[in-house]
Amino acid sequence: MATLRVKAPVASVDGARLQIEAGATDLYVGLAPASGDHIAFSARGSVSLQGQRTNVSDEDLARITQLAHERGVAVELAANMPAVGDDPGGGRAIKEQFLAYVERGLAAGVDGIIVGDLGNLIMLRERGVTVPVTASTLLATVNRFQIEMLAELGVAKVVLPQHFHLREIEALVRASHVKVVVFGHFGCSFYEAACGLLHGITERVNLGLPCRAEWEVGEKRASITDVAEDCSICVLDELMRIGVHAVKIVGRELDPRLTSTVTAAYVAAIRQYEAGASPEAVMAATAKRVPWWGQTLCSTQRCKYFLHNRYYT
Amino acid sequence: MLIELRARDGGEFEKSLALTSVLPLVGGIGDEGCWHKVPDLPRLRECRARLRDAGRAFRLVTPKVPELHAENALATIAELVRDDPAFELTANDLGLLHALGREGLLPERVALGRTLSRSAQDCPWIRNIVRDTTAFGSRALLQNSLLDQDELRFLRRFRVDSVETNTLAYDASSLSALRALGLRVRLHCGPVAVSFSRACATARFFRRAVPGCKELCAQPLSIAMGRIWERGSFAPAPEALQPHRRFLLLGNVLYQAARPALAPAVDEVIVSLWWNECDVQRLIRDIEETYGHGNSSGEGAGCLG
Repeated sequence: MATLRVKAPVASVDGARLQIEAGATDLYVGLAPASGDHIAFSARGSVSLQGQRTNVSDEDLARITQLAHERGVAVELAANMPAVGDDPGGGRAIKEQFLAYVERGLAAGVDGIIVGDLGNLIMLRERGVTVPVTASTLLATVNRFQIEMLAELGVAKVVLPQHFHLREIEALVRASHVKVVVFGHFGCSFYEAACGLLHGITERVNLGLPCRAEWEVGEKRASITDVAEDCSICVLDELMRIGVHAVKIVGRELDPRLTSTVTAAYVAAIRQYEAGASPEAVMAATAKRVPWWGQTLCSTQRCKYFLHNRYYT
Repeated sequence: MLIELRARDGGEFEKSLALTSVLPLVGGIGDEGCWHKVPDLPRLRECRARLRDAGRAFRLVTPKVPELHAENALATIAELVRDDPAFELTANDLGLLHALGREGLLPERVALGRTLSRSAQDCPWIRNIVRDTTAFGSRALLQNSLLDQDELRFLRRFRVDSVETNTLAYDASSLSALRALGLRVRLHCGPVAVSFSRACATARFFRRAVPGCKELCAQPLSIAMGRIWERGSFAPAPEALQPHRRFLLLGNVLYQAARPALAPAVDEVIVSLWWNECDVQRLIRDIEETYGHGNSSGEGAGCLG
């Protein structure tokens, strides 16, 4: 059985330490904007509404890559802001700022870049950036044809959006030489590339997670748009059998103590599966290790990739 | 100026054929959100023939196509191209365009739909987000996502010559910029497409397995955001969200009801027949009035919506 890498979110040096200790094999992290603007090329605002910094300084990124590399952990720069286009009125200043952002990450020693805009992907290749590129979920790759297209553009890895049947993931892994990454923990209800319920990018009003809101539906109250799925612990063995490259843990804007706990749970689960444990045994061990897991995830059926497939279009 | 009347099924298609305009009418068949709402090949051929008889161009509208449907989608479009490549495809999936291009089976013209042609203005509360940025940064955020010459140069290999857009409330200058780059711009008159999902919220709410859920999409659900969700619990929605709380949910796509919006210079207007709050024939007259009789394009007077 092939193993499975765990890609963990980082927004600080301390957060990186926690994730490395938790057993993450890969980290992804955004850089603060050079200009002091609030909105960064990392597709996150610089500071969350709760005051959590979500991007790091150049010095901190260098430190993070140093710590990670000492332990054989890879680091990717989140350069996945979508829709980074030409300047209003013409010009390429924004594109050059994006390139400078990427070069800052490369100077800090990152092993790869995550890109969420097709134009940026093309530009990086044309400008001679040869470090491995991951196609973000923001490029909305939902079939083998798009993986083929991205492979021709030089992409090394693809992060699939949410909501796939396991047999689809298997077909995509088999059909391509590009490494396939799936969301392991937490996720969105809508295609990240096609969602206008923007949040987490400097708004000053608390929107929470809009897709998970409670809605008035006639006389009823329901979280009707909440079709997000949050946990894949029970199907990690299937993802490993299929040959998925890595599972991604979401949450640069979250408390790193929470996300590193999640990382540790996934790392432990993968080791148990490697040793031949059943999903039931892994679930039981996870619930024992992390008492809130069963209550907040299992009992609310936030299961990825198998439980709600009948509602997939 | 053209008007596309977009239909998903028999009832809507028949209704579209009965509508008239002094402006040229195009028949859009299919759906931007769900492959199950794109008619099958025999039905598409029938629609195409009837549109031809009615003197209207045929346009196939397709959504993002997950792997499960990818081969079927490719085969369907390929057959239509083999019949006669002289039609237009509105695509929301770059992978599908890549496969059609690889096989030499692209139709004559291709437009990019609303999952690919986006703007931060699709977000109802975007003003709350851009207010802390510079004027330049604000314009950059609000502009159309395809205003990117690196990307457009790549997309032209797929015969892309048109893009769709939602109505825009704040800044339509990027649409003029796209037209200056040689692209035709097609404006959706009606609900703003806010978010698309593969998982159907409507089917799940009514516990109806896809695709046995199609009748649920006969008309959209009106929903209003009540409490927000944050880190495991609900809280009252902030005052700032109140003007933006009403939406329409149609299957797997979340829309906002048509907002007062700019009427920029565009080449076409699209009216979706599922928008059943609207008297479509009267809307066509409004479009004729806004954009002028017989003009190929022009600045619109006043607002649509």
